[in-house]
Amino acid sequence: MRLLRLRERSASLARLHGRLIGLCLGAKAIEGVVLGRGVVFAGEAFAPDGHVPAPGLAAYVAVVAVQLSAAVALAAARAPRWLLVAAALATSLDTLVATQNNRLFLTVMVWLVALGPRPDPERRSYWHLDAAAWQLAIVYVSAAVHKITPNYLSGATLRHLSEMPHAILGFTAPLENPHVATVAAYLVVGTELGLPALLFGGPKRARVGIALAAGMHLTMAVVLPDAWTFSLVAIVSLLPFVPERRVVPRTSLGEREGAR
Amino acid sequence: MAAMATTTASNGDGRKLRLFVLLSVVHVALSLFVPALPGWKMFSRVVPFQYRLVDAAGRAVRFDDIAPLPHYLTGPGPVQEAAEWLAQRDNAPVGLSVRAGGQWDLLVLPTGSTSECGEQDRRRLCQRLRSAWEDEGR
Repeated sequence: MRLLRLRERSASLARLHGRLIGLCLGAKAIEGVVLGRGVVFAGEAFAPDGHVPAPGLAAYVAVVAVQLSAAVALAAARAPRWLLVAAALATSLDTLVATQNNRLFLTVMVWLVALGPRPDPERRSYWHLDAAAWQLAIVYVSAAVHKITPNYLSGATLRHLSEMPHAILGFTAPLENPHVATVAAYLVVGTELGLPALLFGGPKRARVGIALAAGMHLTMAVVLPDAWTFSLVAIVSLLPFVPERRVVPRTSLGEREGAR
Repeated sequence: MAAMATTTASNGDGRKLRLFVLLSVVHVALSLFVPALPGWKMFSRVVPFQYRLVDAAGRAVRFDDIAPLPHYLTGPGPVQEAAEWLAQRDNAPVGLSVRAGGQWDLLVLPTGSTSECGEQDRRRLCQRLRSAWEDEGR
C-alpha cells in the first residue's frame, strides 16, 4: 500500500497534463473525421470490435463537437467539469462503436481528467495523476504477461507483425531474422516488465524509465503508425512520473487513520 | 478546521486512487480469461493468414473496402465479422475463404450462421471462392 500513496504535485503539472490529454483527444477526433469514422457511425462501413450498433451520423457529429470543445477548453485551462464529463461520455461511445486499445487508453485518461480535481495552486495532490501513472504501469505489466507465451518468446509473433502492411521505414526488416526476432521478443517483455520498477523507483530511476519508455513509444509510433495515439497518450501519461518535489509524508496528507 | 478539511479531502482522494487501481487490475485479470474483453494485449498474438471475400454478386471484396478505419489484422476473426456485416447489409450470403494453417471455405449467411463449402460444392459462391484465390492484387 505504500506505493499507493498520493504524491505531491504542482498545479502547473496537472494543468499541462490536462492540456496534453485534450490535445490527444482533439487530434483523435480530427483523425476520425479525416478517416471516415462518420461512415462507421452511420452504419455504412464495418468497424472491427464494435460493441454497440451504429448510432447514426447525428450522434457522431455530437461526439466530435463535444470532443473538440473539451480539447479547446482544456487548452485554454477553462474546461468546466460538465464539459469534461460530456467529453468522457462521448469518447466512451466513440470507443464502443469501434474499439481499439489506443482508443480505450485515451478514454480512460479522459475520464481521469474529467473526474480529477481542477488545477489549483492551493492543492498539493492530484489523485488522477497518480491513477494515470498506475494505469500506465498496469498496461506495461499486462502487455508483458500476455506476451509470456512460447509463440511470442520464439520471436514468431514479431516476425508476423513485421510482415503486416502499414509497418513502414523498414524498421521491421531485421525481424525477418529468427534470432534477431527472438532477442527482440525477450527485450520487449523485459522492458515492459522492468519499466514499472524504474518509474516507481525514485527520481533517478524514474528519469531513466521515462527516457526508456518515451524511446519505446516513439519507436512504436514509427513502426506501427496506425497505433500512434497509443504512443502519444502513453508519453503524456509519463508526466506524473516526472520528479517535481519530495513525496508528501503520509501524515501531512492525512492518509489513513493515523491522521485522525 | 482547515486541516481537518484537507485530511478529509486527502482521504477521499486516496480512496479514489485505490478504487481506480483495483478496477484496473480487475479489468486486466478478466481480460486474461475472457478473450473478447478488450485488454492491454498489445500485439501479443499475431496469426498469419490470408483470405478471400466475395460478395453476393461474386465480386472480390477487400477488408479495407468495407472497414476504412486504421487497423492491424492480427487474426482472421475481424474478417469473419466483416463477412457477417456484409451479408447482413446486403441481406444475401457472402463467401469467405481463410488460409491459416488449413483452409476454410464458408458461405456466411445474413443470419450470421455459416455453411461450409465442400471440395466439389457446385454452389456459385463456393466456386467463385475457389477462383478468387487465382485473382491478382491481393
